[in-house]
Amino acid sequence: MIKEINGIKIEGISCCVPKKTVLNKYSKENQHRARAIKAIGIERRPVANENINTSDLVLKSAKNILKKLKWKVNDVDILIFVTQTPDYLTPATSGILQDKLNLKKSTFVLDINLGCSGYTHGLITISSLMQNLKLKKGLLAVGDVTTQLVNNKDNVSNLLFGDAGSVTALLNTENNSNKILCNYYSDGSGFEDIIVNTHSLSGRNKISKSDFKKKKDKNNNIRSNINIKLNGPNIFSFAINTIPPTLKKILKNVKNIKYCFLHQANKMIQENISSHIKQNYKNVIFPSSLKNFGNTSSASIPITICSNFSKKKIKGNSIFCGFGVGLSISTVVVNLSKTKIFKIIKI
Amino acid sequence: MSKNSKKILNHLSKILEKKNLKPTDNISELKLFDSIIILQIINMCNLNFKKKIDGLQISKCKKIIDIINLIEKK
Repeated sequence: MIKEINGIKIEGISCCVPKKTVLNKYSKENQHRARAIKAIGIERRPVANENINTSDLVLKSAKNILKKLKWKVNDVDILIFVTQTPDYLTPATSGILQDKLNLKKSTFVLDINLGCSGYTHGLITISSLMQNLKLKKGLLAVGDVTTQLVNNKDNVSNLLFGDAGSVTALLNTENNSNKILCNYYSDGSGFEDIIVNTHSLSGRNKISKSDFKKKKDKNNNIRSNINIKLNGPNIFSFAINTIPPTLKKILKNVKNIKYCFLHQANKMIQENISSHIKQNYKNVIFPSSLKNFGNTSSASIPITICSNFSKKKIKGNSIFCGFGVGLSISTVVVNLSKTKIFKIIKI
Repeated sequence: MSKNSKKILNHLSKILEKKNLKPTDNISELKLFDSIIILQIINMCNLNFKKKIDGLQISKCKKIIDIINLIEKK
């Protein structure tokens, strides 16, 4: 079911990535690696060194967007931060960002633990709160330093992820011609398909010494319980079987959709979904940022927007589709024709 | 071997980059068979045969004919 959030407009989008870029190299002798790189379509990725926290990438994006939009910090009524790599287990990183940005004490601040569907889930959450609480200006921060969760001997995950942060500025115009359409889907039975087994300090998942022990799986991937573990085939099946019908339903009901910004998971998923959609909707464009940024988790949709449109207007309506950890999917339809898209900055 | 089986074998041959792939070939003896190949097989089934194949079921197959049967029976 497609739902409507009225009055909310996206004013601007800003992104930040680490300066350091890692190339997905391969040698002629390593056919497996060469094939994997070709299949996932990622040539290089921004990678944060160990001194960079997710909040650093987001803070830079936030300062940039506030300056460029000429927003005063006192005008920000809500800040939501979506991440699965927070600075601390507790407290929430949104509070740290509030302090570093010098936002007023009456700002509503909240962290959400989500990965690849985080941008769209975050947009739905912040827009709903802004509409219902009649908040004027909001910042949606998203980002992750997922590469720090990956074991460098995990042959596929080690090629996939890039690190990035992003901030989207939202304005409550209280004008119903500005609307955000959305729908969402969640299947918690797939919780083990993208998991870090031990990042808890309590209960039965409490971290212990044995969790640091590296183990080899049947595909010769080496990881420990503190590393991210992906069930590629399950995630892939979930994406290609669930997303095309969801997108088709939106395309059938919403006019003038020019762009579909998918979460940048890998090339195979993108090609599969776009080929399903293009059977009926030939003119829909699927922009990509995979080749140069990899899978940047919740920041991948804003990274795709900023890397492709910082000097261009985005005409018509756009679909954002985030999917992944949970397992979860959410889609949002917005009009970005008056949105200011800023060039990606580096730290 | 049915026409459809031959078509599946043809697709598998392209994915596995092996021209003379036979239904009797043992998967464990193939040079290329990893998680990426499994994704490519799932993708091929979805795009060409509109079938949902489970990655775990593919990884349990011992011979190429097992994959062909798995796809045909879905």
